Amino acid sequence: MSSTKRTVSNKWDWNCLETRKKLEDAFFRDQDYIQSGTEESRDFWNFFDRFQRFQSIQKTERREEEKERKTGKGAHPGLADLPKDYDPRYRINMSVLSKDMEMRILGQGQKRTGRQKHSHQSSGSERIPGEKVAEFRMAMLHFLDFTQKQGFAKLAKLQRERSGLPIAQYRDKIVEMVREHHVVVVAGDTGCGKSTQVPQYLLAAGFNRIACTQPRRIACISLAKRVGFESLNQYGSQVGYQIRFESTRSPATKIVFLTEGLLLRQIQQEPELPKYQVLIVDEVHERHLHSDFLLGVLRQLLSLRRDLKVILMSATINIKLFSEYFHHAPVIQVPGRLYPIQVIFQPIPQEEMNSKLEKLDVRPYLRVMQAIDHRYPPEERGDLLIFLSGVAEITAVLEAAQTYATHTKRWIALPLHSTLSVAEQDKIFDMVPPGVRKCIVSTNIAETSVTIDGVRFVLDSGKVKEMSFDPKAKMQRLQEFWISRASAEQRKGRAGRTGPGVCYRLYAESDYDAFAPYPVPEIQRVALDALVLQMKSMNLGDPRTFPFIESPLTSSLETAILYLKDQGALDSAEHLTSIGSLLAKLPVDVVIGKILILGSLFGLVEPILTIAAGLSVQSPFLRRAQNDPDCSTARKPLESEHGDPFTLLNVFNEWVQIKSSKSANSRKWSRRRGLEEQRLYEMANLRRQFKELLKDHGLLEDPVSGPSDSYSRQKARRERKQLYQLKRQHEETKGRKRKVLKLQDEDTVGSSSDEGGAAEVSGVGKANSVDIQDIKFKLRHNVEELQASSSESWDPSGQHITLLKLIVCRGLYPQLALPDEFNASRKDSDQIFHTKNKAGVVLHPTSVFSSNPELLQVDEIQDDCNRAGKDSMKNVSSHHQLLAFVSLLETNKPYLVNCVRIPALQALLMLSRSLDTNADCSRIVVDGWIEIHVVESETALKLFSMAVQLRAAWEEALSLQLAKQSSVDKEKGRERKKISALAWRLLDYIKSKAEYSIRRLAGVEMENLYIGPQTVPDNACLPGVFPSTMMKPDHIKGGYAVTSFLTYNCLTSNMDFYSECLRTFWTCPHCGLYMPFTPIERMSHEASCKPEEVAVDQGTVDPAEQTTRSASVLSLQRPYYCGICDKDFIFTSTEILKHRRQHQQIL
Amino acid sequence: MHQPTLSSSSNATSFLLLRPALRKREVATEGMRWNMESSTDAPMKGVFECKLCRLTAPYSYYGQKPPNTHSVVLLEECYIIKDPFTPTKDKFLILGSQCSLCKILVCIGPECSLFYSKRFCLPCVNENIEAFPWEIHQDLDRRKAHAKSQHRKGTESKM
Ligand SMILES: [Zn+2]
Ligand SMILES: [Zn+2]
Repeated sequence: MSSTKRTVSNKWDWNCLETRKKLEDAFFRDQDYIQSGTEESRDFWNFFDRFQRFQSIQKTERREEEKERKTGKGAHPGLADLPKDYDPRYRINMSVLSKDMEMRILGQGQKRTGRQKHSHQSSGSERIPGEKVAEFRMAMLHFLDFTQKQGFAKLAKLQRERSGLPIAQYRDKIVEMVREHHVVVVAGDTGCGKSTQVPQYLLAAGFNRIACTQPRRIACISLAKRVGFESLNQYGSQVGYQIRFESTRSPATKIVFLTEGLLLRQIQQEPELPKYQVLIVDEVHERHLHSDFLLGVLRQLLSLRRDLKVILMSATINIKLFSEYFHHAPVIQVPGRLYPIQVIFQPIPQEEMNSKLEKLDVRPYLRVMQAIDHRYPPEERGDLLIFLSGVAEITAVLEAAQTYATHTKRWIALPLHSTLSVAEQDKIFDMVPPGVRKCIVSTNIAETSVTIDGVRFVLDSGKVKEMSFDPKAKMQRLQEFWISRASAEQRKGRAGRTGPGVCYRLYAESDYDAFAPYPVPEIQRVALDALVLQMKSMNLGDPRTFPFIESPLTSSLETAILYLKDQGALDSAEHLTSIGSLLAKLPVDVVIGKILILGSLFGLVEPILTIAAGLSVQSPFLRRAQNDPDCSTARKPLESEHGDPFTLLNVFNEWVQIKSSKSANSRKWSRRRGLEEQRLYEMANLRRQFKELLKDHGLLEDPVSGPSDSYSRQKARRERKQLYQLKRQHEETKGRKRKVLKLQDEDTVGSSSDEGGAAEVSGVGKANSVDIQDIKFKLRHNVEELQASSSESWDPSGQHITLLKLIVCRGLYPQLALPDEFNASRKDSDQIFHTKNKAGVVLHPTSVFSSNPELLQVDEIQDDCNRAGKDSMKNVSSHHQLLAFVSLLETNKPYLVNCVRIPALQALLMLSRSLDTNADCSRIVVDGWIEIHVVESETALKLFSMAVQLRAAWEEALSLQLAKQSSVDKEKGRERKKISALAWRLLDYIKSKAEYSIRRLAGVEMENLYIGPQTVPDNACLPGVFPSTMMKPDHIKGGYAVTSFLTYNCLTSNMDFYSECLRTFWTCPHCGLYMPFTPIERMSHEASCKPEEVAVDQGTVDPAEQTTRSASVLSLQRPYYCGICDKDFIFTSTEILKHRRQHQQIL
Repeated sequence: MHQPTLSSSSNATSFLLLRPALRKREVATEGMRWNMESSTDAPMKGVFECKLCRLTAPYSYYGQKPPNTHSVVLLEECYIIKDPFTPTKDKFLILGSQCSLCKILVCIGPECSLFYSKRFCLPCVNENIEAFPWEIHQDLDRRKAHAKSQHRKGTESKM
């Protein structure tokens, strides 16, 4: 027996794949602890090999050092039954039950050998001897024990790390304070662990339903991940996050990380916020608009909810301010873990100072890199973090740093700013080969929001670029400022997180002393429209008196209120209108919200959703592609001659087509066109969110999705399952280890940073051969549906586009820009435009009109000699156009961003809030700043008349839509017909021809526009001629207020004074009435003589409708007493007019 | 030859039966509400705390037969959680158990306890060191040396 054993073990080969397979089949079944084919089974075999080697060593050792063990005298009785002979087996507290399998293997083996006698084909290795099985089982036990110890070590390490954090010593104090007070301020510098630990401390202390707000979405995700991991709930749902498009929250979630904006939205929905017991507001010192506002809201909420606990967490900046705001809330100050940092002031010499327009001089930055190379040996690790003001500066320094790096081979330079993709941002956390330092060139994002370990050197330019808002010009301005002392200290502190560090400051100590102590809070430098709207919808009263922690500028508040009134979101008493309350619920700019609502009316939802989404994300067009001819060529077919929002629409639609085709690679497609695909994904998410919002508010009917056949359903299900599998695989393999970065010259990419980044990212993608973004996209969206809706908006006739443009412009109004009169004589690149508040703005270089200025060219009418003499008749054309723009941004010049062109006169008559005319309506002043001269007064009258009617109809349709009155299906059908008729009329109107000149009024002219209130009480001759409004004398401008937007004959002019009484013969095209009319009478007749509707409805109306129609006609009639005939009549307005005219003619 | 055997209470009853000492702990930690009403996660029974190193972690099972692991049995009654470091449901992680001599709760960490056919806390092992075989002595020496270097490394990396 022993001899056969020996032969077996001599021949025995554990590496034989067949043997391993057999053992796996027996021991790693689906129901076993380890399963065959998994990562773990591979780990096991690796372990097994090591174990075998180890065991053979052990055996020899033991033979040499075998010793006898004495049994302890008087030992504990519990020790009596300890095994006498040591065996490693006794050290393992587990056992594996798989006797049944062993039997089977052994049995099988025996059978096989039996068979072997007959057929000599199988080899002897098929049999697994019992002792080998035992050996395998023993290895398995050791493996299980090993994995247990490994897992436990990980857990213990985690706890050690947690208890080693500076904040850990304050754990009990924090819990105690929160128990005793409603509001507690926890102040501690980055690295003290407050963001990760405080929520856990509170949860462990018995608090529940904890919300922790963050200013940034990325922080929500990473904190939820970290806290989930630390609280041993990485794969559970106890810790979650909630951001705009993603949520991992479930009913079991106890700690949720969410953005400040999202929490505010939740308060908007449930003012008392019953969802939460504890609210932690993190990073309050950053003073974001939302966080400041949230503090104000919470202060009020605390009086309603006495059980609510609020914890403010801040860096050790300006703590008093927060404590005092909450009635001297107690402060727990946690010291950070900071090492001494040497500060070196190194002001930039005069000759290297760059003037405003020049490129940044990179020499001061390179000098610091050189100094580090000279002073510190490469084996002393530590990276460099450079703080710059903006992306342009980063690009300049990065380029120089990369060139320097290729020379020295001691650096890897990486950019860091918020417009980078997540993958690109993530690279800063990768490791570098020994002897090489990272040089991270960053905006102030690395000041507080991104924490990078291993930084030893900080280079601070002392500058920051911040968006500020000019309330007077309603313009965003990106300006460079000196940072505050608080920011300078934050930046410095980044060098001392892991050891003593050095901070180079490119400014003098005297500069530092002159810095402001703290940064300007956001609320004091941005537009407050959205804030005011939200405050109104939360019933917070007058924003002017709201007790903010620090008040915004009064002028900003007033501008915002005025703007919201202009946009129709607030009424004259500053109450929310119905459109306003809807806008408040849409988490987008007021302008974008309006576009969405307007678009939903005409059933143009799909393209409007895309446009609205496109205008709400950062531009997908990469700047570097601007100078790349290949990119420009590839982009060309996507450009829309109508304007930038439509280019975005084309890009998205085309991208969706690519996405839905099986073979095409959207990532490649995007790269070729210089597009940041991430933005397109964001657009897809946003438009889906918009769609849901519109559905929620009854603005969009849920289309009954066609019952697809079971085959395609099955196919879809199969595809989803595959996608999920791919996603899971990706998640399991990714992020296991940090990659090691390569030196620049080992990559074959050019020096441009963006390029490097893109190439790198795509390289990674190829390596896993999985585009995780694509998978997530396909899981989240119904690509087929998207594809269908994107091809639906393909519109050969251009009808949709025209209507879309009108909708977009109505949304964007009053953000309009007028081309300068003399643009025709200017170079293409020098075209200038004027807005109401700002003269001389230019097109953003990314605009389609910037590269194709001919689209805005006006072909003047030259031939007419009659008008040549008249000054006002210069520049006459029927092709004047206006630009509606999404934003006005000033960097080095004021730029119009995202423009749409539209016929000027038609659009202005349709959209403007203030139209003032002379007596024959040939001279029009729009919103007090644009003057239009229409050549034919007849044409002007016709357009005015149409505009007045269309605007009324549009308004009515919109308010019906908003009021959701049309719940009855039958009515819905009728409304839809009415709306489509309206759409056609709008299209006709926009296409109508008119010759006119247009110009911006000069400042002096604007002051002397109106005749002012008239003393002649001539109102008797102008009764209520419009069905809905009375025509009243305007007491400010003079003339008559015809509608809320139209004031007739109020403009000063010597020749027009009597023309309001001049009548000319005119035939009504609808009723055939032929009569002399004054312009205003004519308009009113047309307004009340509404024949189009009848024409549309004829033949399709049912009797019920007929009666309602006649009823509504009746209701237009009213009692009229004529003093001349001394009689009472029942007349419609038109009839009154007719009647009165009879008398006049007689007279 | 001594064969490590399953203790007699290794079946269903040990799933639910908690020792009196443990009950007290449960009361003490009830306020923590560790995941009590969670539906997707394994329900937590209480919080395990090592009396020596103060390591604490919520546990979801106490006994010898962790749920969903058909082939594995434990040779002592352990405090167990679902392995928090793997997404797989059926993986468990042993936190600790009771010292067979002094009955205190100890974690399985090498600085707190060892297993030699039974669980022993290190103080008990040191007190009765002569009762243990030479291999255990050697192992303890190794642990001490390792712990020292580990501590030094730990503080360094924090700096
Ligand atoms: Zn312990
Ligand atoms: Zn003990």
